[in-house]
Amino acid sequence: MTDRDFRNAFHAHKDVLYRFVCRMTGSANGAEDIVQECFLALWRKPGAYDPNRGTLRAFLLGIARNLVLKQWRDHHPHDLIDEDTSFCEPIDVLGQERAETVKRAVQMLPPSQREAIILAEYEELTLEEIALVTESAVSSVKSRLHRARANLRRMLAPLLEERGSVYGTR
Amino acid sequence: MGPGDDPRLKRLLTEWQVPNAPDTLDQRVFGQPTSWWRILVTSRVRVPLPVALAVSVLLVWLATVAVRDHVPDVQPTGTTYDLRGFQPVNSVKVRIERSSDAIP
Repeated sequence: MTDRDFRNAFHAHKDVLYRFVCRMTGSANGAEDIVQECFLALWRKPGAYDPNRGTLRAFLLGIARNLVLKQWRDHHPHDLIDEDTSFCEPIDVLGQERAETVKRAVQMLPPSQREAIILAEYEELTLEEIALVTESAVSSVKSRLHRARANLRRMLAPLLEERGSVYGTR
Repeated sequence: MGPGDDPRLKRLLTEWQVPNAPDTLDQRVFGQPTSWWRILVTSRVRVPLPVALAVSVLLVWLATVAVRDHVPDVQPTGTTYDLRGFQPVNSVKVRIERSSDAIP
């Protein structure tokens, strides 16, 4: 990988990586550290990226995801990353900004559901791309997305109902 | 994206926006922009050892040849004398004069 290729890759993918890590960790400073690490990893070992296996964006998101989960494991050594039975209680939305409430709800999801919902809803990756990033089967991704949406609906129920009454949807 | 999509939930989720990567990230990855003179002073060029040795030997040889072939072109300065036909005197007569005899 030439210097020019690396710069092109950086400018093409830095924003998607930064937003993903920001949403996963909830920390802007931490996100900068992790995104920097991702690009350093690419610079040090460009041969690790195989274009036949997927896009460079998916490859870089995969590195970012591994770094985020490593950090999460360091801080939560006894929690499971993939909690199939996780059940998130509704959030008390009184006195909170809507955006802040959504942020809080997304960050309360278990990491495997959180990464799936962020990649699907915010970065608009396909199921296949998410499967590649998370090194999972497409069926697992579908299942995580389903659980994540169910949890979010439950946590954000007051806001969804409020919006439904205002805009007259369902 | 699929059958699990919920438009209301989708709309609500978009209310949480995150900014793009800040410019400081560029600086962290690529470092501060450097001036041309700093690049000139601190740049390094990687040369294979055999090439470096060959260039060194060539430079030494060129310097040796240059020194050996250099003929100093020294011009005599001042008056020149031609000693052809010079005959030394047969006898030397020495006369000592006192200072009082000296011509004023």
